[in-house]
Amino acid sequence: MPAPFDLGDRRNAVLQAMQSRGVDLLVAASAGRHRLDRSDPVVFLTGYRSLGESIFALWQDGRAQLIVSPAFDAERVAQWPGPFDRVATGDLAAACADLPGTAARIATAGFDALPNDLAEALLASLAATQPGEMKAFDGPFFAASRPKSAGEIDRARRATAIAEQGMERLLELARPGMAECDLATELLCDMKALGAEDNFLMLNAAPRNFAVMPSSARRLQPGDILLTEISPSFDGQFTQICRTAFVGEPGRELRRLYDLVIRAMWAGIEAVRPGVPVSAVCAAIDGVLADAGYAEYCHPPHIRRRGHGLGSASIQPGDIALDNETILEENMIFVVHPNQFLPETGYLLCGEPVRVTATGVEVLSQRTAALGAIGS
Amino acid sequence: MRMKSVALLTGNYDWNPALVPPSECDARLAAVRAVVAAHGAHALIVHGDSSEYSALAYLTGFTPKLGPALAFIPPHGRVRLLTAGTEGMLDAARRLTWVEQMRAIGEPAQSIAEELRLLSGGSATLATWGCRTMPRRLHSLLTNAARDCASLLDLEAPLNAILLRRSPVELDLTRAACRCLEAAHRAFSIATLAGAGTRSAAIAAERAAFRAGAQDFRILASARPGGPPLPFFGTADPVVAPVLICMETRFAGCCAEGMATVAAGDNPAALSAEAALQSLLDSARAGVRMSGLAAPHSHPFVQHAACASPGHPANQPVDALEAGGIYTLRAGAAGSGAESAIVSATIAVHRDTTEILWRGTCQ
Repeated sequence: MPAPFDLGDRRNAVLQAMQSRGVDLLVAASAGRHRLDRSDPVVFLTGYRSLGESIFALWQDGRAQLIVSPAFDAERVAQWPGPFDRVATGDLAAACADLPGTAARIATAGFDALPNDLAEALLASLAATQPGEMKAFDGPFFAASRPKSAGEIDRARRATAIAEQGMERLLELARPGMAECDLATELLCDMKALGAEDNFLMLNAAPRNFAVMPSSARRLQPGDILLTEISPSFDGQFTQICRTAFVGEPGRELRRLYDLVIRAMWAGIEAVRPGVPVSAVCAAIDGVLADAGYAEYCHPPHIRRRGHGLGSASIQPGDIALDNETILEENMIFVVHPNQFLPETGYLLCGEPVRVTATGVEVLSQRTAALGAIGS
Repeated sequence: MRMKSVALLTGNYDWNPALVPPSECDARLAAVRAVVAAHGAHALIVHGDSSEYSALAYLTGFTPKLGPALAFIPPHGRVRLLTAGTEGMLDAARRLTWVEQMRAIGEPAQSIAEELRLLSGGSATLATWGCRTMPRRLHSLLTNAARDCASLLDLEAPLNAILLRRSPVELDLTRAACRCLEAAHRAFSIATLAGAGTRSAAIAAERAAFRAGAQDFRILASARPGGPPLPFFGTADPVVAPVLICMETRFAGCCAEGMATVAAGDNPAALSAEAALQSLLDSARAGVRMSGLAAPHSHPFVQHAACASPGHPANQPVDALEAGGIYTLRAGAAGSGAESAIVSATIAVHRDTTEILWRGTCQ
């Protein structure tokens, strides 16, 4: 199996996809939001995370131009490595109108995520200056190169190490009477100090939870079940671990049911290997829960997905769900999380980030999920 | 000011009636409804998401954290909210707003169509606010859903104008936001002057802002001596002097922003920037146009002077100061090499006086 590739290989894969479809010019757009569970076409091709919206224009002959906003980002983009021209501007539509050449077939990617006014202005600019046919190219674009690059894999490992330290810190800091959001913001800063630049940090608690959610001002109480998805980004690559902790000493029933969701998670992880459809991972998790009598809770509204890809470049292979037939490939990275609602306890969370290896799976976390206890 | 977006808003966004009382919410709703009616529209649709939610949060208190949200404002009666996430997340969403009628967005095309039919009564002009920043895919769903039951009227500009005039409650909340800003500024300065790198100092500032009660805090800082303020990506933590910073924070929905220069040393540009800011402050009063503010460019090295309304969705410089407005006055100066500085002050313009809510320094 091939070694993880770099961004140059990825651009070449996209160029091949363009060539096979007769595309002369690809205009990929980023809304500048860099999210855990959304792909960003500009980051995907360049690694550059813009402050505002940005565009990457790629011609079939290999010429390329990165256009970022706002204008004061000029100094940073000028130093960014890569075989392309660079422009920083406060007016993306005008810069788009200045793109050289008159392409006969133009493909776009990422435009649906742009603010509507900007998307319309960019399309109008392209239509005025590149009079060829224009088509959305999002599907073939990301399919051209699904696995993570070598750099992304390394960054996913580092992000996961930070997430695990974040969980240790949570168990140190959390105490009854503390507001969820105060705990979450302390953890946010602690993980930034460890190297994270951002964090999709969901954290909520109640005696019985119906979902994992962003923090509120609710204060932790003895008997609460605390849920958290700790999802730091390291140098642009997100990861995620999912954890559950009890405020006080967890009882036998909670331990028994948490063991069940842990077993379901491992069944899913053990199903991960190259050549297997994503749906098989979800089915393996569902199987354990169904055998324990919870089949009716393996569908919406109780559960929507059993994991997902990790941005911010590409979120391939997508949601870990029964209707996802994407075939797993070496060096795909995603999180496997049963995150199950059980009638006795409410929602329980466990989840680990994994990499598909040549023959199976590598779990990126070192200390996998176990039911935590928060001192009362 | 363009700040880096964040993956998830993590601070305290719960609606607190002790800070934003129902009478304030009612007054905002009445003001918005009056503008909608004056433009001949039957009702209003307001959009927000985690990146731009000024209009939605102003009107409903609701800050969308997980995806888009839409408020449907009838001419009379109850406001309705469509929020991202699942039905199981509605309990958490309800903590963020005074609006009682709320449902998960589910299948967006279907939900939006249902809400539009309810709002329009079959055929009406519906005003929109905050929809220019709506992602294109969602905007298409909205326009398709409206095709059969309503015509859409963009009232972005007249409704944004409401946000420029701050109520006494908003003024108090902005004062609190400025206290968060000052806590962050002080923490950044202390860390920097003690030899910390800009990234470490920025984390100290963020922690201080949150501990002071901020909902959110963002910061840009120079990556090289005197360089433009930039976002933090990666783990580089250079020690930089002078370091130019731009900060933005929120408290109970009210925004404060500030610029300052730390470790300025014997930087003549810093002296010029501060002098230019003082000139702006000396002449800032109700009714004065930006062109009428004392000529800051007469100071050596001054390259930039501007005035903006913090937290306003248009994020554009304003031309004139109005009583009841809150403004950020900014001045920037550049000499040779690393000799550059920025500084700003946040002011509340009253009928007869001007109150300085926060003032940055070049120290």
